[in-house]
Amino acid sequence: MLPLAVAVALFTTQGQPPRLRTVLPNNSTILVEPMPNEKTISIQLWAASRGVEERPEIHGLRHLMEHIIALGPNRDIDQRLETVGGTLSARTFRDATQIEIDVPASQLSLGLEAMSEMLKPIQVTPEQIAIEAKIIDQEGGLREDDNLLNEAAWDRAYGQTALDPFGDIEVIRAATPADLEAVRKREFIASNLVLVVTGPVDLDGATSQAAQLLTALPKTDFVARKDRHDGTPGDTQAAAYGEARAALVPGYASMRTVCALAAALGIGTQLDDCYVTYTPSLSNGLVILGRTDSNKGLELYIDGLDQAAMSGLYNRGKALAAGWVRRQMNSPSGVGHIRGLLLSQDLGARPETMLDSINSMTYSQFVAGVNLFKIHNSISVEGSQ
Amino acid sequence: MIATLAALIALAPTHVIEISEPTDDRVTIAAVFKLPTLDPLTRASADVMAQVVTNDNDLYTKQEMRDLCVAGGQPRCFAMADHVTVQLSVLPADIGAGMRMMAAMVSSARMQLDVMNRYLLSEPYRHKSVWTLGLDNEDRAWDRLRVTDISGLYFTVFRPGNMVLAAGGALKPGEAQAAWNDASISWAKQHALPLRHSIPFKDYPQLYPSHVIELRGPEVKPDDPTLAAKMLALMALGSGKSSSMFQDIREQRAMSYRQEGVLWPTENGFVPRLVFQVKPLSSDQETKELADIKSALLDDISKWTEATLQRAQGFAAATATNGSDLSPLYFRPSSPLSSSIEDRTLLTAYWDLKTGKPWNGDTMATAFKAIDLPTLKTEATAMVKIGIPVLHPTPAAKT
Repeated sequence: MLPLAVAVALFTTQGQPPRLRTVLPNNSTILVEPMPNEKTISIQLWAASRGVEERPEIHGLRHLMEHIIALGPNRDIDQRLETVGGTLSARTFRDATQIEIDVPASQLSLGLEAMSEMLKPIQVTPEQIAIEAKIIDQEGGLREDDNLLNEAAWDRAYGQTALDPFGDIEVIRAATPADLEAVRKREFIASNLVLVVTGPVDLDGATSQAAQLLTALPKTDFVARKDRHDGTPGDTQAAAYGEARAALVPGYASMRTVCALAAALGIGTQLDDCYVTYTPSLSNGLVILGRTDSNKGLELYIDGLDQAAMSGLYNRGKALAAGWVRRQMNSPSGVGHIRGLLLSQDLGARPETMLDSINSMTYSQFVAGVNLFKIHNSISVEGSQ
Repeated sequence: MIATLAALIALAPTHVIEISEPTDDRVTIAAVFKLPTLDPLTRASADVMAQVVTNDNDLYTKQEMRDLCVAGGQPRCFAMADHVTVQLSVLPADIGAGMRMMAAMVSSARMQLDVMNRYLLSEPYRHKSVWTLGLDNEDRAWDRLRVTDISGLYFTVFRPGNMVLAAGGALKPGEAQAAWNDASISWAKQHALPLRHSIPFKDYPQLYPSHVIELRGPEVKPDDPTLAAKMLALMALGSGKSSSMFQDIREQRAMSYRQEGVLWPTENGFVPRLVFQVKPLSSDQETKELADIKSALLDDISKWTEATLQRAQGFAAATATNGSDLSPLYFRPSSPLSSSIEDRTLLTAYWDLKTGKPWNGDTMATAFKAIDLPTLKTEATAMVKIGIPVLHPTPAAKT
């Protein structure tokens, strides 16, 4: 019998529940969501950054660790996965590290076996670290304007409490194998881990198989999340082309946050080539609206928005925000991403809460969301180029 | 009798390729048009034309079309070296409106001067990533354009006989065809205008301190019987983390974060390109590194085994049947076609335009599976040996 401490069906239907969240006795979490019509299974391991949040002396070690872990202990995982049409990728966020393995429908066991190797202690030499540091340095050369504008906004809003997860290349270059293993041991503890399996899988079978991956880890208590302080509005510059406005928002499900998201998406339909960036977080964050082709168009437009213009944007912004959330739940990879990102931060967090907030948004709340982007309420980023 | 039959054939509505995905929440419509031979003037015209197409037309304003489309599915149009794609996504219940928008965009776009001017005031000065610049380095004669260049190209390109149309998503059989027949009934044959040609004028300085370097292979015709083998060789060399380029250029040399095998469209076929990004080195160093890389890739190819073949075939089959973010199929600007229904619809229509048959993932996977190791090695060796080194340096400063 599966050693389940808690098994919660988040939604009930006539037959099997659409997904099953399981908290193992060691406080790690598994979520399985069958999507029978899909061709691909997405297996995603999320490790919350609780306890190992970025700070200057370790700034970038999580990013370096992500690179090293994704190589696998024997450097042969990619060969095995790609031979059956699978892929492995990894990403570092402020609130968590994600490792994603996507495999064809018949390859759940292979995917889980490959994922199990991501949980092993890091075995790396200083020479291999030096190579990965050079690769990360090259990665920096590919950062695009929207990313540079966004990071300038984060820096202005939250300073050292929300350091760029890309990291400091000097800290990365100076890292030792012991530094990396120390970070891994603090981030990849059972209570920080969420394993999400989505796609054409059997609910009980996949849950049982996934549990075998995490069940042997020692039990740990949940580490308290360090919430980011309240950000302050202001101006800043970025060494990039373009401009951006960022709304200071609390957790992902608050009305203020979804209104800012709806406002950004609505405004974005009025100007060509805008981008909107929001990474759902339980902590304070930013909804960023920017454009990378020119300066002074977007900000002038936002500050000039009057009641008549905002009333025209209300329904559109609301529909786009709901669509933004639903669209992320359309594919195994998308489901694994949004649910894993939220669950790794809080076991009760789920995207449907955002949808509920969006659906109940009133016009006056939307207007308040638009006002979060106005000059005195927001972070204003001007590209210096 | 013969004349009547010919007229009927000419007026027959375009066949719509339908891709049914009953569980999807939208319908994507993609129309792909063949472009004539482009020179710098017509290349610039094609880009401006793509902007005009998604703006106002005789039936809809730009805003009305955005409102009728689903989130993220508003009309898009882009030009590559060989084709123009027009694409939009609507709710399944709105397929009629979707087809009407498509027909209106390709038959009655208003040649709005302010749209053209706005684009011409921003696009030549737009900051693009070094990767994008490296892939698409075609010259555009922005400063020589006239309105008639754009309208002339519009009427040359957007003709019923020059189009492949596909619809993918929550469709009932025949539904898309019926909707298109209804929407396009008044699309009269356009008269092609003579095109004006010109010469290139300048480059666009950018800021990123990166270079993109490539080995560019010879052009492959769409009906080349070795196309599948060449595509497989491209993936063995440059697609996925087990590829030769990833293993050598990234993992061994730590020279580059991004390296890919790219199948790039040209007017008459495709060009296989082995592309990677590096921080700038001196010219001598880059020449030496490239020679070393060429040599290392050839050495690696000589050691390929059945496992290499199986890895490439597995990767290629998955890419063919379901798409992949690491796909080498760069049939739109900047990024390869992914597994989304929008991209699979585009691929279906584009492949039909290019080869005469819609993309069939299973058929392609079978073709990849039939290739043996010696053939793979021969094609890969030729690709690297014949490949012409091309450096796309980052201009020093923006003007």
